[in-house]
Amino acid sequence: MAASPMRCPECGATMNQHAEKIVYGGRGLRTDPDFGGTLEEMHACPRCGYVASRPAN
Amino acid sequence: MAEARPLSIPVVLGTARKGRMSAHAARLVHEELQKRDGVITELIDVGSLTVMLDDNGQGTGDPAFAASMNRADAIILVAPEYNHAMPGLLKHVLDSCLQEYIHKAAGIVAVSAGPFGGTRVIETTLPVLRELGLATIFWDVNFGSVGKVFDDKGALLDASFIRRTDKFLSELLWMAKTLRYGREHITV
Repeated sequence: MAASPMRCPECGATMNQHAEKIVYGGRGLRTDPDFGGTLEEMHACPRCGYVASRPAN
Repeated sequence: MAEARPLSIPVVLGTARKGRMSAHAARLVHEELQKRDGVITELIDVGSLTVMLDDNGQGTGDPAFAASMNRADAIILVAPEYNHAMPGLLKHVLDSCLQEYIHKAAGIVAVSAGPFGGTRVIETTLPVLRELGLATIFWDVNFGSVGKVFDDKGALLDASFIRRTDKFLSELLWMAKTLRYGREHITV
């Protein structure tokens, strides 16, 4: 679970982190040595449905 | 049961080929989807999207397509079978997004001029959708020998496809509702 909740860039509601995914070939992103790619958090807004991601800490 | 916020389910017509019969299948599925309560839909033609041919991958696609995928609770791919796989243009377009797809439902409508109903494009598309983070359903619609299913103007000649599409949509909507709840309320 994310250390700090993500705010929806569309409506400002607190988003829910529902997944993590390894992204390969990310441009300029830090490669996680355990996974060989960038670990991304996936978030969804329960108010408006908007989805967003950010690199995991 | 209608959702408070309508489900968004775009239909993606996956070929730009001249004379494409897949357009008739996409229109039929889109029309049947429009009859469902609590659903908003749009028909996206990959041939009308802005496509970068000198780049590829996440964030390189048409912003309008990315916005549609962000809003979507499920997507329907109408994919003809070209040499056992989806058209290269459809793969290129799908690869332009990633975060927009995660934990969303996907259904495949396969179209083929031959008798096998596009089963091979379905089989080769499933691992792609999985890697994109989409959750595939177990119903498909197979428009095999599509030249006998629609006439030249797109009129449906085989009414069984209405019922087949109805079952496919029912399963897709169930998955879309379930995954929306999961995305928005269940934390990983």
